[in-house]
Amino acid sequence: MLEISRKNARIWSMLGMRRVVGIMLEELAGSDEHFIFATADLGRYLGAADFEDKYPGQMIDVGIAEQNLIGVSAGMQQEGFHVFAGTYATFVTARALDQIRVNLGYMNLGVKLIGAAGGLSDGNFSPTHMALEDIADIRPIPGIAIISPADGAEVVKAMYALAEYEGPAYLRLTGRANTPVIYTEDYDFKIGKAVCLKEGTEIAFVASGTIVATVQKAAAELEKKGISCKVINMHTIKPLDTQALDELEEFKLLVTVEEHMAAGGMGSAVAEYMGAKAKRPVQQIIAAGHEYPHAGEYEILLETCGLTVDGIVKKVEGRYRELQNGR
Amino acid sequence: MKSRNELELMAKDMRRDAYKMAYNSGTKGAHLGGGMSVVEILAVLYGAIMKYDVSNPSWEERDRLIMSKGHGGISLYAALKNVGYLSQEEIDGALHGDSDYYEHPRKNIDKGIEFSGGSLGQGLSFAAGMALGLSKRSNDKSRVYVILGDGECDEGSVWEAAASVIHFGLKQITVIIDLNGLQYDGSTEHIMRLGNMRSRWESIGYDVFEVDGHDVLALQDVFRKESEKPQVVIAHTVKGKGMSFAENRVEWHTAYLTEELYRQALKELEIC
Amino acid sequence: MQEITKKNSRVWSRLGQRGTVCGVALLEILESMENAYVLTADLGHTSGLDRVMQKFPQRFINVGISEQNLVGTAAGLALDGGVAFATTFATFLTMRSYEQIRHNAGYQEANVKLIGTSAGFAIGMFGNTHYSYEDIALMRVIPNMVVVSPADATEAYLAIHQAAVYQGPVYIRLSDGLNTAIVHSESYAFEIGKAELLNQGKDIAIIAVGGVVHEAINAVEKLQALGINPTLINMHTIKPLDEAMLYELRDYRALITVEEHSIIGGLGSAVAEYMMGISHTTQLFRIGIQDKFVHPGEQGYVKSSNGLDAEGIYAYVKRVAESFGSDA
Repeated sequence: MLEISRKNARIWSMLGMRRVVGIMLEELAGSDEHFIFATADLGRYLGAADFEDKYPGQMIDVGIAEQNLIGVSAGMQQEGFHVFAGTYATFVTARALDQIRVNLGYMNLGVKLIGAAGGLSDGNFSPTHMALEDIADIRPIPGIAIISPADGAEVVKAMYALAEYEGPAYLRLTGRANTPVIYTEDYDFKIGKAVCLKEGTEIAFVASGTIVATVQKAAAELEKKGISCKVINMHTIKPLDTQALDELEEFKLLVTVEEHMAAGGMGSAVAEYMGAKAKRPVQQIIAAGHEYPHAGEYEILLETCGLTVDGIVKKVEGRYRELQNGR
Repeated sequence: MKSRNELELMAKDMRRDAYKMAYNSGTKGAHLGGGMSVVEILAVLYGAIMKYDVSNPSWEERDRLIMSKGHGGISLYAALKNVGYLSQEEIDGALHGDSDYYEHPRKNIDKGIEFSGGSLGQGLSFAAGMALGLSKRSNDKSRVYVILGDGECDEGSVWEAAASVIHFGLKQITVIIDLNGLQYDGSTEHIMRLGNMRSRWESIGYDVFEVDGHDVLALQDVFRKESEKPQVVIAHTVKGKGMSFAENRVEWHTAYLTEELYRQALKELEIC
Repeated sequence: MQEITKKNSRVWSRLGQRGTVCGVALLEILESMENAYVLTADLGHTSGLDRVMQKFPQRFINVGISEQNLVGTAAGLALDGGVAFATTFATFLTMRSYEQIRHNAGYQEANVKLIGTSAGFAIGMFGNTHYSYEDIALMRVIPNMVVVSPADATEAYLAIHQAAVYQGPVYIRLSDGLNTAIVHSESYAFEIGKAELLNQGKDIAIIAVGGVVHEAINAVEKLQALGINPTLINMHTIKPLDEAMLYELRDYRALITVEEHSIIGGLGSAVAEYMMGISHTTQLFRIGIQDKFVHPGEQGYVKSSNGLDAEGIYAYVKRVAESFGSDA
């Protein structure tokens, strides 16, 4: 087992999630002869350049053919193998959606999908490479877990957990290299169990992905202004941790933050659940909006979409003050 | 080796059950066209070629059949009943009410169904994955048979899979193309010409055989051929085969049997 | 365009939404718009496009069983100045060609009109591979996409005519079947993005979409007999959502959405996303397919076994009303 330590966290942060996946692929392949890493011409991209040499016979590259990737992975899974299939988040979810529905959903085969460049991180390649609908696309398909880790350590924890998890799942990677660090020591990670990173009483933040670190900073800023904030890392978007949400009924404002379209994502999942309550906070969905942003560098895109510390503080404080004034 | 008589009797038995299922389904209709074109193929595979153990459905060394053209569901059910996976009651109840056996089969390994069909163009990828799994487990006993429709080959995903089978050297795969020449809207030539089917597969690297898909002995022979490459069997078939009023008629892709037509179909079955 | 008369609505209801759109409205559109095209993926006959094929063979394109190519080709025609109507089963259209839709319609804003047939579980014994209960969720999240799901054949007729002149991609979700229930039998102001108020009640609002709107109408009649009078809204356009209409409901005790779709990501979620932003008390409930693959069967069977028939909606709303006690 890889250790969650300050030193490792620093290394993983430098590498970024994709390459942490590469490390974990080797880690899992080494302990399970039935482990298979399948990809559609993006092995190197996922930090698995040496994987095939180290674990001959445990890698399948189908070429640039995402639909085939899903079918082949599912067929192997049915034959008793444990398949992690990784490629770009947007291509695996969008191009092969019908295959995912039939093979992972309907036939319930426990393939683990790894979507690299979830959100805006590769937005310099244009919206074709942004994955802003992937959560919304996978969420309505019955039976597929969705996990979006907050940092490199959580990628490690999530992949260990997924290796033990029977059903199909989608692991969404966000951020580029030098991702922020949330966890520097071991913690309890369970699929479907959110992690409370900070207690508070007035505003509850629920976030997933690398944006969690930004949210932590935004919460700290708001605290300076005298507003008490709770921060929850909702690393599992499906199944949603409803217990953690039940604890938010008394808050004044619930803010969901994600690198995804404003519709259909984690915020939508939270709204679906919280909406049934007779008493709950008003929810503010902070996301990448409803349109594709113009192509650009990651940091600029985050800025454009208001997914920065300043952007979040401004929006949330504004809404919070409105509510205080009874609007 | 099975005799012509044995295999034809099996095919006949399957048609009888398939007609019954279609008739029982009422006026919503069943996929009789593409169901009937694949009867002999399934009869020969289940009757003479494939290894399986009904009392041990997940037997490691079994051969796997992937019905990629899920539209052949009624004939698959009929074959599975004939060999003992399904009961007569299950056949009688199929395709209506709250049966577990609807138009497009759902995966149920205990009942001999390896794959959920219905969304075209997905089965060959799945078969490739299975074959890879077999190879990696050093199981060289099992074959994987995949039945595709000729219309289904319009789907781009078929060709992604086709290349990967060759690339991965999956010799245990036999692709069977039920080439009945018709798809929903008309003839495959008229709707979407795919070029020369034989040379198309050959150019990727398959051993390609052509056969009369209703000649049980010819099918038996071709399925027994050994190759150093993955195989494609292009089975020339007739959509709606066996029902004179439905043969080669596009409107019988999905259609229903009136009582009169049901009786006529049964009568034609007994004469032949 | 024809007038909405009792007679027309009767004829169209017999044809159903698909028959009316493909057999009547598209023909009229091809007649009046020289740059209109109709495309299908081997479902010309089944969609009722026979007259279109016969009358406009030059502007009818059948790409065979290749949905991805269907969307790509339609987009090419649209980006070249055409208005391209592409139709096939809703599930294959929205799932198999999802990236093509995202890329061409969402990103490049091609003026395509995607017509998904047999949405929900209209296709009965074909089973889950042919059911479509994720399509609203999928189409709604794509930028620039308008999502419309008509309540009956008449509304489908109006929707497709409006979509034809609207500049931009539209997804029209058809709940088909023949001899369908009539919701609209006289002229009314249909406008994409503008919900229709079918009953003004109080405290509880039912917000329904698609072919189950008439089930909701029947449920409301039964509820009224008990003295419960919910507001009923036909939210035929899921995107853009009629937020002005929803705003009026902000002080209601409960909103109950009804859709032949998963409770995840569809109309119910769109309503929740909006209402959660403005209300901390209005309870939001969603009637639809629970997060599972349903046991297939005839449309009526699947409807009732998932609480989507009049009886199921009635029972659900009654339960909610009773939970509020006598003060509701």
